[in-house]
This record gives sequence, C-alpha cells and structure tokens, in this order.
Amino acid sequence: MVSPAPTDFTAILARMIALIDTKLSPVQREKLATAMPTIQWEFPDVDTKLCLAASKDALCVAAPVDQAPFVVRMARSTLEDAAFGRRSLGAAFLAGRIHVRGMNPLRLREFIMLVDPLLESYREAYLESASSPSAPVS
Amino acid sequence: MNPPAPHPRLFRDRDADPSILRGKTIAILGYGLLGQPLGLNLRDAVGTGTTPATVIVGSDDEPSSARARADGFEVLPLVEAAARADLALMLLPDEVQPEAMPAIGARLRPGSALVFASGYALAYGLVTPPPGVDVLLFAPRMGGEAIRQRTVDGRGYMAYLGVEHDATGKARELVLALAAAGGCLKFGALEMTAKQEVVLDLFVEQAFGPWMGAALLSAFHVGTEAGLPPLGLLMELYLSGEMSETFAQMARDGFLPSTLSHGFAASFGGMTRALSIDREQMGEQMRAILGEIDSGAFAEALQDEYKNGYPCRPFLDKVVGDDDIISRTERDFRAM
Repeated sequence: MVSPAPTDFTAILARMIALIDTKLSPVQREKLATAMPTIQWEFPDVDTKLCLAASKDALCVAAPVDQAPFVVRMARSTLEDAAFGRRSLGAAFLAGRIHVRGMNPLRLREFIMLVDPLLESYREAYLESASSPSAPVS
Repeated sequence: MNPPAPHPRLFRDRDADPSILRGKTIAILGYGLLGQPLGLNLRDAVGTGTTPATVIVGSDDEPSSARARADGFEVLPLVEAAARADLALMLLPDEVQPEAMPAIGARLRPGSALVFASGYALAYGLVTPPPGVDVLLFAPRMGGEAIRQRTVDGRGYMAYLGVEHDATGKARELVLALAAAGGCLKFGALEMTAKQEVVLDLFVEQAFGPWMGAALLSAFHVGTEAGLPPLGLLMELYLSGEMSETFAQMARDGFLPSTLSHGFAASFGGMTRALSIDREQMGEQMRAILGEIDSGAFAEALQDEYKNGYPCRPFLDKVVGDDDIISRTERDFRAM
C-alpha cells in the first residue's frame, strides 16, 4: 500500500473526522464533547497536526494549537497499521508507539468509544482517497 | 509538610483467640480469588474438632459454585448463606457489592457479623449494612494463591483489620479471631479503617504500579530498538526472578541497605541515574491520583463502568491479550 503524501494525509484525516461524526450517536457525541471537547492528533513523522473539536451537535476540524490540553501523538504508519488491521492500537500503545498527554484516565470510556469509529473512518477515508486520487477527499 | 501519621497497631497470633469461632457458621459470600483460600484456611483452622465451625459458601455464580462444591463446601445462594451466617464474609468484587448488599443485608441476623475484605464499598458509602450487625474489615494484602500457600507453609500473610461498627460489643475479638483462623496473624495485621485501607490499596495500585509497568515497557522497547536480545531484556527485568528476589531482599534487609548489596557498579549507576529522574512531575501525578481516589472520583468512575456493562473491558482485555513481542518472547522461553 502506498502511503499518501502529507497534504493528502491531512485531507484524509479531515474526511475521517467527518465520517466519525456520522458514526456516533447524539448521546455519544455529547459525552465526548463533555469529556474531551478537543483532541489534538499529532503525527510528527509527517509534520502533521489536526485538532478534533467535539460539540453536542457535531465533530469538526479545528486549528491545532501549541499547548493543546489533550494530545495523541503517533507516527502515520501506526495509525494506518491499526486501521488496516496490521497491528492493534493496544500493541502499539504497549510498544510506546502512541503517546497520550492530558487525558483524564477516569474518562477513558469516552475515548475508547471513539477508537473503532476512528479506525473505520480512517480506512474509509483512505480508500476513498486512493480510489479517486484527483478528487478532493473532504 | 505534615508529620508522618503514627504507626497503626500491629496484631499477631498472641492477640487473638480463634476458638471463639467454634460452633459458629461462617459464610463465604463469593468463591473467587479470595473466597477459595479464605474458605479453605478457615475450615482447616476451626472446621474440625469437637465443636467445629461450619464454613459454607454463598454463590450465585455457577462456575464458582462448582469450584466450591469440588472443594467440599456446602453451597447456597448468596442470600440463603447470609441468612445462616454468624459471620458473613463479603467477598464479591468491589463494584458489585452495592447492588448485592440490600438483599444480603436484609437476610443477616441481628447480632451476626458482616466482614469486608476491602474497604471500598464502606468507605465510599456505597453500602449500608443493617444496624444490628457488627461490621468488620479483614483485608488480606496478598493474592489468593499466596494466601493459601503461605498459610499452609505456616508463614502467614499481611492483612488490615478494623471494626467499622460494633453492634455486639465483641466486634474486635471477633475480627481478631477471624484473622487468626484465616492465617494472617502469623505474619501480622495492621489496624486500619475502611477508608485508610481502600486509599492505600488503590493509591499504590494506581500511582506506583503504572510507573513500574511503564518503566518496564520502556526499558524493554528501548533495549530491543537498540538491538539487545528481547529474551535477555525480559530476564533482566523480571523473568529470571532476580527482580522479585530484590523486592524480597528489600522486605528482609531494608530498602536502602538492599541497594548496597548488588556491588558498587550497580549502586553507583542506579543512584546516579535516579538523581536525574523528574520526581517533581512524578509526585504531581501521584498527588492528582491520590486526590481522585480520596474524593471518590475513581469510585464513581468504577461504578459507572460497572453500571454500563464494563465498556472499557474489551479494550483493556485486547491490550493485554494482544500478540505482542513481550508475550511472544515469554512463550518462546517457556517452550525452550
């Protein structure tokens, strides 16, 4: 599988967030918005940051900030390996390939709720992008 | 900085008279990690002779009930066992106790005793035992297998004891008798309140345990990335048993003296590296964890997890059950 170029990667992440939004119920979305209104995703190997902002009405992409309260950092390949079933996020976490900063561990449930929709949405967004390389992905 | 709290009182066999349990019915409510070793210990200690105590098991869980029957116990539904008990040991999981307590409490006889092996439900006000019963704390600080083995070996094990409510005027002698018959007083038991017990337990589990686990994982992955053999790393970290011997030595000789017994190179290297660790950040995180335990925020999250059908459990199980390099290396070693 060919990894997308960094610009495409950002577009795929944005599309992923739009797709996640369709997979969460209003109750789930509200819980996420209460527990973690912003989650900044950082992929330092491709110099990409993207902030997921959750409100009770929608998930959307927000501008990344320098001192984000809640950050999840990993390599792009870690996300793609998990999304395509090559290596689980749990194994990657144990191996120190995922760094989480600022999460309230007592709100783990809200974060876990996001994991499967996120991986599924990334996979869908990636495949959309790959099947129509010249078309915008968001 | 506050002065250290005074040492709690330490009880040993000399402080207890287990014979006061003779003729009584002791119900083990829940035959799991603690129920099995405590049931067996109590039966061995006071379940024989001319006026034996009767040890019965209360369980609504079929696999646990089958295990108890195989061990030779009479098994009754939880509430039936509670109704027969002079002493009922509440050994259900912490988060399950609040839901189970009303039915059990309603069947306890006035003058009987309800014994908790964890202070959790009492400390956070999640259960309300009936007023006419003694409410006792007998909290072993050891895994079930070790409780049984150390009792059989005659070594005993550490426990916390306490009286939360003395309805009969004999609660203290009863909990001491139970602790002695349960096998712990050969080692010793400290007097604690339910709140002290649960905060100590959760704090060390949540503040110290994760740092130890994270240090182990980081050392393993940094070492393997650098080309060190994974099996060698696991041997150094825990697989050889050297680390558990070190902990045993700390308990035997003292924490600081034990650091000097590994040769100067180990002491010099360990001490100098320890100085560079950011303990301020570590302490800050530990204080935050302690705050959430003390305030009941952790208990609230745990009860929420239980009420919603353990939604985090599949994720945690998957992390633990993944086919990771550490598990593979351990399997390879066992197959050698």
